[in-house]
Amino acid sequence: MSFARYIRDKAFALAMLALVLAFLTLALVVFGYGTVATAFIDLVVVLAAAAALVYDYLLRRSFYQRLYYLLRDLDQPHLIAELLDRPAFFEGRLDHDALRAAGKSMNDIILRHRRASEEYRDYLETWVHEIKTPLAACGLILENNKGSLAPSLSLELARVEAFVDQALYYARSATLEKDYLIQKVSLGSLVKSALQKRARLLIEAGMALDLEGLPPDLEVLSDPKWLDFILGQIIANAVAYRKPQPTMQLSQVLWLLRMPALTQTPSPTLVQAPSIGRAILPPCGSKPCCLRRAPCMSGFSSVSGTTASASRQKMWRGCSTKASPVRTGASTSDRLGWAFTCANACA
Amino acid sequence: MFSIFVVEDDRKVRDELVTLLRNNGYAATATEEFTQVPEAVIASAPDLLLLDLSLPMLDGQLVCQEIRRHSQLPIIVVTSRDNSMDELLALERGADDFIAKPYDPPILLAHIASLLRRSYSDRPEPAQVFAGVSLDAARSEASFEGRTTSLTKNELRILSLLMRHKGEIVSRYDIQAELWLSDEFVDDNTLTVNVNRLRATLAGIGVGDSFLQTRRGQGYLLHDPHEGQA
Repeated sequence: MSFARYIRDKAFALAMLALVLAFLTLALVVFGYGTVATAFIDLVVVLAAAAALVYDYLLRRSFYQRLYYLLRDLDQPHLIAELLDRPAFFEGRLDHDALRAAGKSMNDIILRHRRASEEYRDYLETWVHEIKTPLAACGLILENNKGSLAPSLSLELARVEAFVDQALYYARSATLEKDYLIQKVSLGSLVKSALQKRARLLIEAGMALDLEGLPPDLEVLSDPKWLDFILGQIIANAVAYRKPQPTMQLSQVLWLLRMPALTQTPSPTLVQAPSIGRAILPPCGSKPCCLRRAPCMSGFSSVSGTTASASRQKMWRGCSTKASPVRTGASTSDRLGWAFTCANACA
Repeated sequence: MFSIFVVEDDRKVRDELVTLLRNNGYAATATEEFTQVPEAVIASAPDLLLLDLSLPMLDGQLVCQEIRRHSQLPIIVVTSRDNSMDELLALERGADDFIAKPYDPPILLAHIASLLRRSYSDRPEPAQVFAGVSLDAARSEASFEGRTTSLTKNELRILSLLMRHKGEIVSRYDIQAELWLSDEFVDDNTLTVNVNRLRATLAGIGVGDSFLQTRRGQGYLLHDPHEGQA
């Protein structure tokens, strides 16, 4: 808050003061006071007014200046009242109390919503776990009573299971820090078990697998559950958008997971985010490029948010405008949007 | 014949599991009360335990630990809680394998077969015989009327699966799933090639063409040509 800005705010009061001063001067001259006396009285009045203004300005300046900087710098401005001292002047107190009340009500609402969403998430997790028992029962019943319907029902059941899993992982993605368990895993066996778990989807779709380039005994640091889920999403999408004679190249899938140099890396490794050119992009004009926005996470702890989203943006730039990019900037963009880029390249 | 003990609290799943296991050549028992699970398991002395972790009134992990304290029997833990901590904890408490619900039955069976193979390598499966063809899985050999031929890994797996389901149609999916679980990711065409090769190998020791039959759109089955005449 500059002084000039403050004075402009006081324009009406100053104009009134000037008017009073002019009238006073006129009156004094009419009543026959001398020029010196008149000037002296005017000076006293002007000095008194100036002193009052400066004092008032300084009082406000420290409060409003702090308010201004806090508003500019705080990432959660609703907490601003916590960082402001209650000022000595009346208006400032009003402002301060208003901010405090608004902030408190905001915090209450946030807390309520956070609790509600946590409860909902817990419920969803429980629900997913409960639904798995009847699903398992269905699978067993179909296996024990093989009729003409069994194969196609089993396939649909496998799809239901994949969707249920998706819901679970989506619910968990909000609290990754609780769920992540980074450990040394063999990439080869992890990919193989991911394929085995989805054998029904892949086999019924007539998918051929090309495991060339899958390192047989390379260990990486990752969360196996999440990596398995991501692979599952890629597999599901590859199946959904397959070509007539589909072959799924696992080396390509790994490459899309930012693991291009795996075959040359001898030891447990953190994977770097490479630059991804447009070579791997699907022809966007001809096929739906971004049909599915399956929620999933980058499975590697080392792929930092910024590099990941930066290189993804690079990918998107190569894409036609029809393909709307994932929301950029936010960490959600790293959670979302893996699967559909991968799917087309594999299918 | 291996015996398997099933601990699962959901009645439907339990019944179907027992049926599935019996259909696949195992002796299966299950418990219907869950107050003294470790004692019941140890008393029944099975060859393998299929243990659901989420049981009413007691913790499956503790059951696992308790059983392991008294017995070395192979344990497969089944859970619907798809979480890494559970898995680690179970393995730490002495489980040998871990499978998440909902499982695809062929995959569950493959887990069971593989754990049994690992745990009882000294107890080879007796040779399976059907229509005069006998299969010695341990030596990977098939013989017919005194003539013997060795089988490749895939031929052995396919023939063994068909032998276990004598006279029933085994779907192409079941065969493929079985091969996939041994890390042989064969596709549809390769499966056809594998089956034709098996047929040729068997023909080499004089087995007739009608032994391994194709049912278009359904799968394969073993057929005993003398069955009708007997």
